[in-house]
Amino acid sequence: MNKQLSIKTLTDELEKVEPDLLGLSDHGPDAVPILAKIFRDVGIHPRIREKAVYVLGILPGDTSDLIREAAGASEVRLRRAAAATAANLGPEHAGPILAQLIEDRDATVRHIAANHLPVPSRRTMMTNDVSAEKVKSGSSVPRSYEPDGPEIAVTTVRFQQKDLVRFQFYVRNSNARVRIYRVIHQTQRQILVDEENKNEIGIDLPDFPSGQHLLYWSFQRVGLIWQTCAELNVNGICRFRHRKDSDGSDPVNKGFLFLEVDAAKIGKSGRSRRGNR
Amino acid sequence: MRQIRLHFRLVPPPGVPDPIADALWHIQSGVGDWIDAQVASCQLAFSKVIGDDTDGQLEIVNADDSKNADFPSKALVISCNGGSLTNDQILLFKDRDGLAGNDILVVVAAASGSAFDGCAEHPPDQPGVILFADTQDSEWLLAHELGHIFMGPDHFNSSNNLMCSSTRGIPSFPGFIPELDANQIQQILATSRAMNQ
Repeated sequence: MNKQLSIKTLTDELEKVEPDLLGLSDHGPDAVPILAKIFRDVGIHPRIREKAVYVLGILPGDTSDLIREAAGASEVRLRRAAAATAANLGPEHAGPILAQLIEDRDATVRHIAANHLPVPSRRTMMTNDVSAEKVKSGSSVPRSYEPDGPEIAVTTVRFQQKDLVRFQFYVRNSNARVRIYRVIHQTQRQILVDEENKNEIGIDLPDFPSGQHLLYWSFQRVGLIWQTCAELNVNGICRFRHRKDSDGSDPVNKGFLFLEVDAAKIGKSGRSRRGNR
Repeated sequence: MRQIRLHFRLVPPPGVPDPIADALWHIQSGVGDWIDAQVASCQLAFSKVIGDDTDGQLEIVNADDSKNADFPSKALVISCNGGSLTNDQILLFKDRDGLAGNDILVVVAAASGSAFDGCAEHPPDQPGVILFADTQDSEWLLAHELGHIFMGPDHFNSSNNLMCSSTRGIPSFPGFIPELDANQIQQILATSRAMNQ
């Protein structure tokens, strides 16, 4: 434990108008329990507690449990800081937190959450990046459009701009109103689909700029019993498949997936590979 | 006499998308009174610079042209550690409609979520500061950020000094005015002289 670290030293730093974030980050994991105490202590100035949450997100190590705790706090300042810093955790941890905060009751929190979605990760990303060799050989390549196929549990799918990318959503035992949209950096949402009375929807995703994007979907079902399956297929290969049902452990009517789009390389066949299914 | 003109632009919080709600926010948040108090503190803080010597006179004035000039409501994302500016900072400071030469753009935003209460980092030749109105209750926040415009990014160890790293640490008893030492005053005069040329 760094002997110089204490609630006093950290609150002194956080009280600064322009705190030294790099210096705070250098304290490393030793600072985590102290910052946790600061943000939980209702006797400390609310602004200092808000800053403590933000700094927790930029420290090395997994602080996602604390950011998740802040994201569920009753004080809007703490949720706001959780939204602002969650992206620093990397997509695998940030995704569920930001997906929760995008639906927050406070407009500022919602806006910050949407604003911070497409950010570069400084931590390991859980991606489903099927290698070209694997595709070529056909070995263990997940087949597309099989809602009963094995689930592919990833939070990020990476592909190139030239790739044919198709999102497929199935609803069983109930028709539903289905919305699919892209959360856009600094603005709001680009609606890709909003259709009623559907049990299957498939769309070819439009060209997205290179970078990170959030694909988000939700549905309103008619029946009480339902099953859904969401698939993302890249060049005919399933890269993401997730099922939900009304009896499952997470029976909420929404889902999300991070997309990491690489700029298309010149000289390839381009989007002429796009076809109809 | 040198005059530094401040042009305030507000960034209302998300959730006030229409003019009526926007006007209500201005009234309910008290941001107008907050700005008046910050300007008054600035004039006090820099009063030591306004001396009898004609060459040393400096006046901080509010151009008072913020009506109908607000930026769209949003939660600003800023960076303030000497690195690259964010897109928000670049876009805000780029908009200098109505500002002359080295007038200073003061962006007052409602919410941050980040760790900064204010920031004086700006693109070259586009002097400006960003303040978060709901962050701290320091009356010296604007004066401190203007101090960075005049004197650069360094902070001062004494909590009696305007450039103390924590403006909340500056004594708040009635009549107290944060200090500026002789060297700082010279820096302010030199910079303001250059800004007025």
